[in-house]
Amino acid sequence: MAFQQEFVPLELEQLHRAAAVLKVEGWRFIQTHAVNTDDGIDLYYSFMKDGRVVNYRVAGVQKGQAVPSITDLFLAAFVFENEARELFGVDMRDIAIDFDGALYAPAQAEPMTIITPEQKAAREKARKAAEAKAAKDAAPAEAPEGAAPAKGGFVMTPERRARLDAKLATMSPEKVAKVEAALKAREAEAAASGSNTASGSAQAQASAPAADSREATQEKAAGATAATAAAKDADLEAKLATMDPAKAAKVRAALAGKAAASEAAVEAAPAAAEEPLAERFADEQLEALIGLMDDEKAAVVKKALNMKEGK
Amino acid sequence: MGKKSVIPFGPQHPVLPEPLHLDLVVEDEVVIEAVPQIGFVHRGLERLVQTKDYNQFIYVAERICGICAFGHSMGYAETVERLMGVEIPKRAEYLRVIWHELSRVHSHILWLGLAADAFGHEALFMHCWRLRERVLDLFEKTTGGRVIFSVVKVGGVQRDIDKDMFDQFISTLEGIKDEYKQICDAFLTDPSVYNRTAGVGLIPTEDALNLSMVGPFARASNVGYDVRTLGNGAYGDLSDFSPIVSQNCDCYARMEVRAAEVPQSIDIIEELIAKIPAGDIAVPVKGSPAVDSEACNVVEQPRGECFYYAKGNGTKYLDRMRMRTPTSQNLAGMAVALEGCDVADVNMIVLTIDPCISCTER
Repeated sequence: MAFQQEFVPLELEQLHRAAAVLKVEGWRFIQTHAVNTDDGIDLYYSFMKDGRVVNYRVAGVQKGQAVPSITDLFLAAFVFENEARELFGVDMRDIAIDFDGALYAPAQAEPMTIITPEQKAAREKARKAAEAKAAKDAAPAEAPEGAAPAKGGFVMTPERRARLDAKLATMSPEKVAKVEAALKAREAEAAASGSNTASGSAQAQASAPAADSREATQEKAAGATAATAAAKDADLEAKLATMDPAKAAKVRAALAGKAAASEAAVEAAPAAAEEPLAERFADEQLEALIGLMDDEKAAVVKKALNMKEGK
Repeated sequence: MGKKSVIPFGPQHPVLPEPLHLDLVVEDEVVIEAVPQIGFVHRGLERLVQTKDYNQFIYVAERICGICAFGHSMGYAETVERLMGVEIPKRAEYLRVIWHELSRVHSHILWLGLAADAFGHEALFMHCWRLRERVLDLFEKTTGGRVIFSVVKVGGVQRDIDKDMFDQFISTLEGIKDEYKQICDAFLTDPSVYNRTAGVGLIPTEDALNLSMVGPFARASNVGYDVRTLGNGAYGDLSDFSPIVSQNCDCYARMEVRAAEVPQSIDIIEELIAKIPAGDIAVPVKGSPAVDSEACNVVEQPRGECFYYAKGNGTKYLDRMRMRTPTSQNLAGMAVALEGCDVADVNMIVLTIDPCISCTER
């Protein structure tokens, strides 16, 4: 029994039903918390069974949108639901022990939803940098499917050239010279290894270490980040061009392997979290589970469900 | 049927080290409902994570509570390490668990003292706290602090413990065993203590499970859940660990479980000292948690399971840090345990959940 964590999306409409199913299945309620996001408030409901912690995420709850309390099933949630209401402004309904805004009675309404402009700007910058990095990492994966660029490795398209010129305009003359030299070396290398498909596809992956080492610079200047990365990319290419071809091919193959492994890990993660939620929390499944319980327990769950559904 | 009235209990009360208020609805001398009210020491520490970077926040995390300080810094660091995919050296894992178990020893002895005070045994209270001082001395010698230690950092620990110091650990812990046994005898065999606690504040196992209770409070109701069995960190290297449970489900059982957990923690410390590997005590941690990265973690604090959640946003500041402390989870259990008890037993029952209000409110 080892610790495992999962994050699973859940619809708001399914929330109370899901809690009922989890209770019947013997999951232990851990906690509820809220996270402020651009799209509203994300509510997390954590449950544990046999060392497995599943965090159900109800995303984007809007102001004024009613959220049913689960305290009729898990009384321990009352503190967290009161907290979500006071600190995040979530409209929690029917909490068993309702403090009605007097739990912490904060001086400022919904204090956890306040984000300063500086924080917002820093987050936006980091998000853009991450998206740029993801796009760069994704591009080489598609490259082998293309016809000519995959065979020949690096190809300077007019769009690329235009983007590069814009970046070069912001750089120092020494750096510009270095990039230009590296580019020439890269083009020469691409022409030389045109028929070598293995190194051709691996070449495109060479941006991986540059992307890794770039992390520290992300926060310094968003505009300079992409340019720095391009320069590092070019530096690496220049270094590879001066290396023994056999050694360069090995380095490229290793980099390609590393990138492929990280891609595989990214793909595996969401797959593990996916569960057939709609089926799991369907009526028939719930009825079957309630049928397995003793009468007293089944009555409690049925009563809670009926009350929520207004029967 | 007697007349119903409401008795306010706390927030200032001799039995409570921290402010907790209860509205006790009583009928004659019997409590028919207890409504807890907290919020007197809310400091908004979870909000502070947005203005302190993930390395600085560790010092905030351990200031959540003076008793669980080490556990919070460890739990926070583990969560951030999981968020960033950092693997810490084995020696650091061992050192963390040794200090953490030492925290459990001092926390449980502190609680036993408070319990003695609650049922009017002041000399016993004094002896418990005197014994606890020797444990705090070990903290002072190895970390420099008695309450706030600041030895954990993201990526490992700040200080190592050498062999001579480990020998002092063992001699001190072995040295307190005899005295501790005498104190425990007073708690567990004295008829006046037994009469005051046995059968009081009953929570049957099924209710404890339904109320999602954690820690010694749950284990005293025969719920065999202890985060340490998950084998996180150095706990995975223990040759044998099984949670201490009791089937009595009352205040006496809660005392019994905590009393037995102290020698168990001492055994864990001694085993890990014998097994601790040589090597580094920290790894450098660079970069920032990725955008929208999420991680959660559980740690067995002296009062029970503590849950941590962290969300990154690509900057060095976390988007959200959540600590769900054991007391906030046990408040529902406390409210249920109080229903039907005598007014005179309220202080005993409230104390046996070992409420930590600073943790609960953060």
